Parts: sequence; structure tokens; C-alpha cells
Amino acid sequence: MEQVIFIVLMIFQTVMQILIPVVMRKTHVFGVYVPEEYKDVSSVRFYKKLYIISYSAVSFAFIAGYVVWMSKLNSSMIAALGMVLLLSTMIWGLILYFYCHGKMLELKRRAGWSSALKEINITDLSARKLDEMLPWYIVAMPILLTLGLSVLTLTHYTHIPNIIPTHWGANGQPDSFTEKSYVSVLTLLLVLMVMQAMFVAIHEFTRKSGIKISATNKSGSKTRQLLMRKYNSWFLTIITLVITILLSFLQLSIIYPGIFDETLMLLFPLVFLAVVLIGTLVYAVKVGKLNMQLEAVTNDDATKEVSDFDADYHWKAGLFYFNKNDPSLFVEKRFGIGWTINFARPLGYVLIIGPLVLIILVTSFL
Amino acid sequence: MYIKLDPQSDFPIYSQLIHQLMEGILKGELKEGDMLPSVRSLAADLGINMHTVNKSYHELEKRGVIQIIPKSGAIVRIQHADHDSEHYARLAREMKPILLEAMTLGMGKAEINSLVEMLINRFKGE
Repeated sequence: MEQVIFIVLMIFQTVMQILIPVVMRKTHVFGVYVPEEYKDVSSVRFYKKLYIISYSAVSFAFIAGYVVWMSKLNSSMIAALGMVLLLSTMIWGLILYFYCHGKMLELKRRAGWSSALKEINITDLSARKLDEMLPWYIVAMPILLTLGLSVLTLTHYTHIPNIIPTHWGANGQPDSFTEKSYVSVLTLLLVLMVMQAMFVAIHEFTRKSGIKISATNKSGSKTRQLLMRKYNSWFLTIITLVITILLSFLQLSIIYPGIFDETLMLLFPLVFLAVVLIGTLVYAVKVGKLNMQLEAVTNDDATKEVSDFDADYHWKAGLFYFNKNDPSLFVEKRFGIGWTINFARPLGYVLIIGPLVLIILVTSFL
Repeated sequence: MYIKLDPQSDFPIYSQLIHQLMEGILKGELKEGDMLPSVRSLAADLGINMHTVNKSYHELEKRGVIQIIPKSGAIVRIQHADHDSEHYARLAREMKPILLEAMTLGMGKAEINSLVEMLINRFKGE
């Protein structure tokens, strides 16, 4: 079972990484802002191809090696090797990224791509009214389920066995236990609640973050940003719901041991993994489609005098956004699909790291 | 309505924002009672400092163009500059040095009038 999961994860990771240069915004190549007029020059295309070919060659070699080798290994070695290979491909991806990022910077400097046009900040006052992110209470809805389950757990406290599971193996069966107490029966729900609160907070701060539009393609970039926000909102909501369902099933199996048979217990985590992976892929493909459809310059204003503000300075290594002046907590990634935090805003760190620390504290001390 | 700011311009960003919002009102893109975005979201959308937007909003409120509603945003609420209002007095005070400069540079009444007329037409988008 483990090897299949690892192979699926590795193939998934490879596909996602290969997709990035294809679906990323044409004006943001390997984290470097390339003005509209240069986005399709041959050197830019060359590095995109280089990245894809080098990445997939190494990655598929790893996967093939893993498939051939694993029959000779025991199960803990299979998991360890799987983790090492996943990490190695990630690091290889990073090395390739930094190489291409450096090359793009060099090309941009040498060829003087910094646009000669006037750089401006721009926004549309009506864009906020068109925002289609889901309301916060929809994203927060699963919290009700957690509260309901907490009540159910406490009212059934006396019927719960004295030893309760705290960890489940890849086969869906519990493999680690603890003694029953009011705290230990609620730990799982507490962890779930922290995650739900984190997702709601991320969702709401994304709403408050900037709707960034482009001076050279106003209507296209506005439509794109609004759809991005909508997809992001739906994605977060679905992930919250799926995590809630998975953990709720585990909680039910604590309250009523043996309520689900072995096949079901095996299926839950697999279905969960499948939904998350497919959801991520659908999200990536939708964003990629948006980039292809709406990135063509529509040139709505017929003014060819302005260009977007070149924010390269705020993007450290093209990966980390650091802008004290921008109140946005979350911004769209420059390289990759999705969002990243504004590192100049400490609240962003708290939102991402805080819940992790809380979960670790809850699970290790309670 | 689009707002475009030029960070390299001689005009500070907060006054560019003030003038763009005023132009929007003159062109009818912003109407009496329309809600402006909150300081935070407008700053985020433009990628500029919140204090800059805040300064523009307060200046616009002082000048009788908008009304700030704490925690939510601002509404376009225009106080007419009547002859005996504080706004009239302020405008007269602020126009003085510019008129003085124009006259010193040899502009006559007719020239100044035609300049004013040209600007009025431009702001109204004609």
C-alpha cells in the first residue's frame, strides 16, 4: 500500500512541477517580471523548456528506480526511501528554479528589459463589488460539525472504552493508543478546530488582500484576479470540508469502536488523499487555463505609454514577497500556483506557523 | 473606475489619489452616496501604504467631498461650496498664490479665463 501511495505522490509532484512553467503567468518568468513585449522571446522559452526537461528526466528516473528497487526492501525502508526521493526531487526542482531565476535576472539586466514605459500602480474601484469569494460563514460551517461531535463525545463519555486510539496506520487500523480522559477524547476535535479556524482566517485575510490588476491588460487581468480569488475560496472551503469529514470519521470510530469495518477504515484516508490531489490538480489546471486565456494583451485603453510596477525588488529570490507598504497578507505566487504570504507582515507568519505550533503542543502534551 | 498612480511623479501619491477621486466624481463615475473601498482594501489593491490612503481620505473629508465611516469605508458626500462656507473661503485662499503667479508672469484676465475654461472642459471629460 505504502509504495503505491508514494508512487502516486511522486507522479503527482512531478506533474505539478512540470505544469508550473507552462501555466505560470507569461509576464512572471521564474519569479522575474518580464514586460509584456519580451514575454515570448526565444531565450525565455529556452529556459522554460530546460526546466521542464531537466526536472522530468531526474524525477521519472527516480520513480522508475523506486519501482524496480522496492520489491527488495522491507516496508519501513520503502517508506523511508519514498520520503527521501520525494524530498530529493523537491530539492532538484529548487536548484533548477534558482538556476533559471538567476539566468532570467541576467538576461533582463543585459538586454535592458526593464520597460522604458512609465510604471504605475493601478486599481479598479468597482473590482471589490465583483468579488465572488464565499462568505466567511460558509467556510466556517464545518466548525458546527466539530462542536456537535464534541457534545456527542462528552455525552457518550462513559460508553467509550478505557483505551482509545491516537494514531492510525496506512492500513486504516489504529496503531497507537492512550488512556481515556476528558482531554484525550477531545484532542482530535481540538486539532480539527485549530485547522478549521486557520482556514477561515486564511480565507478572510485573502479577501482583504489586494485585487491586483495589470496596467497593460486591465479587463483581462481583473477578470483573472477575480476568478483566481473565487477558485481559491472554493478550494479552501472544499479542503476544510474534506479534512473535517476525515477527522469526523476517525472521531466516530473512537466513540463507537468497530462502527466502520476494515475496508471502510482503509478507504477513508485514500479517498481523502485522492480528493485533495484531484482538487489541487483541478485548481492548477483552472488557473493555468485562466493564464492562457486572459493573458493576451487586450490593450483596452490603447495607451501604450504605461507598464506595471516592476516589483522584482519586493520579491526576494523571486519566491518571498517582502513589501512593508502593502497591507496584503496573502499575494499570488510569482512562481508556482497559489498564494504566498507577505513576509513583511508578521501576522502572516502567525497565521501559518501558529496553528502548526498549537497542533504540535496539543498532540504532544495533552 | 480605474485609479492610476505614478510613483515617479512630482505630485505625492496621496494628492494623486485625491485628484483622481475628484475627477471620478466630476466625470460621473462616482456619484453622491457611493461607497469608497475601505482604506485597507484600497491600499492593498494599489499596493501602497495604508497611511497614504488614510491621508487622502482625511484630506477629502476635510475638503467636504466624502464622509468617513469608521471601520467600514467612506461615502461620497459633497458639501456645496456656498459663498459664505468655509470651503469657499479656503478655495479663495488657495487660489490666491496661483493667480498671483499667473498675473506676475503677464497673463491677463482673458488668458486666465480661457485657461480656466479649458481645464473645466477637460475635467468634465468634454
